[in-house]
Amino acid sequence: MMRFASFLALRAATIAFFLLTAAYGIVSYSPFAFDMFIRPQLLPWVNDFVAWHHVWYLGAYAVSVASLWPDLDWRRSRSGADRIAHRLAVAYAAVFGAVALKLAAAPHLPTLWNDSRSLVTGLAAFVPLVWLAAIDHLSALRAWSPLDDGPPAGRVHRLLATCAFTAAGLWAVHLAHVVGRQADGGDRISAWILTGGWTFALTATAFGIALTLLALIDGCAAQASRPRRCAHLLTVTAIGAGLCELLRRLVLPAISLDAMASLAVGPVAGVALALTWSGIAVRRPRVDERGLVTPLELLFAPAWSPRWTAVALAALPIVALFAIARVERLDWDFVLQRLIVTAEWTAAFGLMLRLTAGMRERSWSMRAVAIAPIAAMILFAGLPRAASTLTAWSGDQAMQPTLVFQRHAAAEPSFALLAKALVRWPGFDAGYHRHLQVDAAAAGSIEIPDVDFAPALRAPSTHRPDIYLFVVDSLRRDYLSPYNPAVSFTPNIDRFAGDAFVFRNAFTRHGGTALAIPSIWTGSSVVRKILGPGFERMNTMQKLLDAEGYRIAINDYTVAGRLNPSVRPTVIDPGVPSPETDLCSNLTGLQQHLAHPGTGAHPLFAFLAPMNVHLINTRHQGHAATSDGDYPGFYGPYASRLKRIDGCFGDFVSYLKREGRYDESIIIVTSDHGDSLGEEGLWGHAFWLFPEDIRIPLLLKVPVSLKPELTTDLSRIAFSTDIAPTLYTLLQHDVRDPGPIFGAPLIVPRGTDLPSRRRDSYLVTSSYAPTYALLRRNGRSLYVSDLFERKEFAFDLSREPIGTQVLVDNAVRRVNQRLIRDRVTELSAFFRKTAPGHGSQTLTQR
Amino acid sequence: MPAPRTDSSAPGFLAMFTRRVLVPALALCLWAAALPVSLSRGVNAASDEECLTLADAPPAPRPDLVATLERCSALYPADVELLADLGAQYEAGGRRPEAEAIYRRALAVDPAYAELRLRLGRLLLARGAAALARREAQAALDVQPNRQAALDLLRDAQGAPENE
Repeated sequence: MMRFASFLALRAATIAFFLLTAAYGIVSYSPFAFDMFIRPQLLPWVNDFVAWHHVWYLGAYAVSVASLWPDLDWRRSRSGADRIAHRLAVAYAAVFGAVALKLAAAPHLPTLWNDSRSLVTGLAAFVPLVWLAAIDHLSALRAWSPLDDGPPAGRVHRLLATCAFTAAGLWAVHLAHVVGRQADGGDRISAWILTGGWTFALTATAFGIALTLLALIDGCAAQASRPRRCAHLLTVTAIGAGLCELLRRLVLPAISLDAMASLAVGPVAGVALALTWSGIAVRRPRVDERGLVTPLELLFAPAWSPRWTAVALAALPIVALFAIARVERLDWDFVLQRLIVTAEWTAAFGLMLRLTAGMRERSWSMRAVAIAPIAAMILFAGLPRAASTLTAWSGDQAMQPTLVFQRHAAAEPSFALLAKALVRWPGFDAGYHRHLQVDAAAAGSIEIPDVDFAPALRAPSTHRPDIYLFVVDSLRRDYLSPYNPAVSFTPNIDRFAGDAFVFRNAFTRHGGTALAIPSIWTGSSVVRKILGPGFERMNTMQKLLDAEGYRIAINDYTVAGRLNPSVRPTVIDPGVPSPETDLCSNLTGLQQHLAHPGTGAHPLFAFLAPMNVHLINTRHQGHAATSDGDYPGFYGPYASRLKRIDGCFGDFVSYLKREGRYDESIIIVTSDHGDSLGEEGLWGHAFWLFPEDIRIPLLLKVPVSLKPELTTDLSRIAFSTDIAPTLYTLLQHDVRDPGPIFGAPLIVPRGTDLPSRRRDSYLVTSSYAPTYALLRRNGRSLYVSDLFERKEFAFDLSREPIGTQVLVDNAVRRVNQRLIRDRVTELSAFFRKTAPGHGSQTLTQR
Repeated sequence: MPAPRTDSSAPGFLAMFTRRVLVPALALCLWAAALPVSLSRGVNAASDEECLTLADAPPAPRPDLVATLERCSALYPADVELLADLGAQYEAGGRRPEAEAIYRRALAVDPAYAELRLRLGRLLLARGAAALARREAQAALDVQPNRQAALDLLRDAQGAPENE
């Protein structure tokens, strides 16, 4: 037993190293993930891992060779499979030893970039695992052979008991967790009963399917000449297929890996991991105090005593929930949380399998065994319909199963994952989703037209105020006192709002920085790859600044490197990694820049995009706020950081006033997008377009001398894409309308009326996921199509601070889907004009 | 340890094969056919597509639309564009008290709808409620600073006698 434990420890270290290497290669291959995680060096420990990869490799190699020691032992006489295992082990030591020497001479991982070498490296990292698994299987064959003709793999009634107890236990624990988290939501007991029944049906169905599959494997194996080997083979095949699907559906889409690469990575990783799992299992002792263990036990159940197994089973949900709580703020589209719950279910099943090992044999008929899965199926199919009927009868929309599930159980990763796999949400229309997916795929190859808001930019204006554009990453409007009277921690921004136009109804056009920041510069909705060659043709903001002779001071990770090469912007706080960009430090740097002699000849355009309140920073200290203040009703770490940068902003405004630069400057405070701070259990902003993610603050201070001559509409729906055309207006250019995907001035000369936007619909897209949203009715109505989760949501945003979710019925769905489809087609058509100059021509004609 | 299989006769084999392989396989096929379970059914409330899109474009004065707008605004009482259109139709048809009431309803939902404040202000001014009209003009100016139409209403209301 101790020998196997040592083997397991050595092999676990080897597997962890090669999986990490594979993950790094695959993540680097995805352009999106590379830009998001690798290039900005988001995780310091990953940087260390890459830098020292060759040393780690040497360690992993040594550990893996140590785990093969019995197979390398040349003193033993061998024959058959054992001899092949020995030769494979020697070859492994030679081949991967040579790789270790090569890596020591020329480290490979630090040379990876976003190209096909990364994918090859990622796939190649599975080779040692498959090789080791081959040795494990061949080595184990000798010991296994006499047992191959043993009895069938197991008994269905024991499987039933295992599945039933596991499902019931997990359901009870996770439901209790949901109740603990959401009980103060004010819902009636009837809604909670529905949640209980619905989540039970989900869990029972999942384990019913597992039971049926295992019964089928058991039945097929019983027909084979070597039942145990057959059962093992079929189970490992099922594990491989399951892992492949898990990766393809859950993990790889989260890093936006393209379809071809997913097709390679999913099966390769699934097979390699299943073989590794199987290889370790067949190395285990196959006989315990009860006799021969079943193939299922070999793969899943520990060899502990029932008492220790029961202790482990009791501790398992606690460990899982603790792990989920630790990762939920840094998780990317729930991937880690869902992997944790998958591991939890698998472990719970294995532990329960061990506990049911002592069950007495009973000759239950298949009919009796089938009752439980059939009952689960009926409950699963019938409950939502019964609830819908009840809703229609009572008129109480709060009992709609979709709303109830979203309010309660969706916050629990285990139930959310089950629902993702087993439920088709209202609104899933294959044709509609295919249309959007095809459109998104076509956006992979784009043509960026030459566009401007002014037909021909004339000589510099006579009045060229300094412009300060603060785009605070992830800044929520309801955390600022001009928007929310309950906020007391932003007094300086509140004072500034007294001098500014406060747009109460502002939104981003893109959830996520990667598209949101470029869209501010272009003044339009954009698509992925906008930051490729040709971005400068659409960069209307820079065209204006160039024509007006502005000098640019910038601290921004997204666009700074893509500005027209003819311009040499002054980078504020150069060398600071993007997650560490700090507004206070930025403003100190900006003041130094302003004080520098010789910078007064040209007006200044300052663009700062600090990340103080990004989740990357607010999660570091958990729930403990960093300042002494108390923030009831707000997320402390976020509010405390906001309080700090509000102070720095106030100091900067005082500095501008002292220097006589304030009155005649244009100052804009906004954000690229909002953030989910625990609403419905969600954290972050990457994949979804919920109200708190797309609503932004927008405060615009215009030169004092201009203000009486301008008019605006503070309640009109506004977008961050309106900032660029607004600057054109403020610099006294006539602004034309380049088309429906473009923004428009928020301000017009007095005596002119702003065109109404109340009848129009506006598309919002995620920077990182196939999620689309539609804003209608002047921003009071929000409809979200989440293709990744295959869900549709509707919100009434007229209720402050962030609106309320409302029911999606068939008419609402049809209307919104049609409009989303139209807007998406409009957007992608704009970027698909291939003939040179076609874009400009069309825009002029429009 | 369970006893190994001993019955190898054809009927016995067939029975066991059916029971242990075909039945679970059929059950899996059933699961595959039934899943994912759709929640679409039953989510077909009394929503009306015509009403949802009726206010997507501002209507020309059309008396025949009044009945539809009344039906739709009853179905969607929070859709201020529908209410605005209904008010405009009432105004066009000379039904000023109804228009005033509808504008008030719309403003209760969306107090920042400056255009409606101006329309309401004009109606109030026309019936001599100058103070109320001033209040509406001022509220419109809070949302649309310096807007000429609001300044005009304010000026007219300030110069008008108070008849109420």
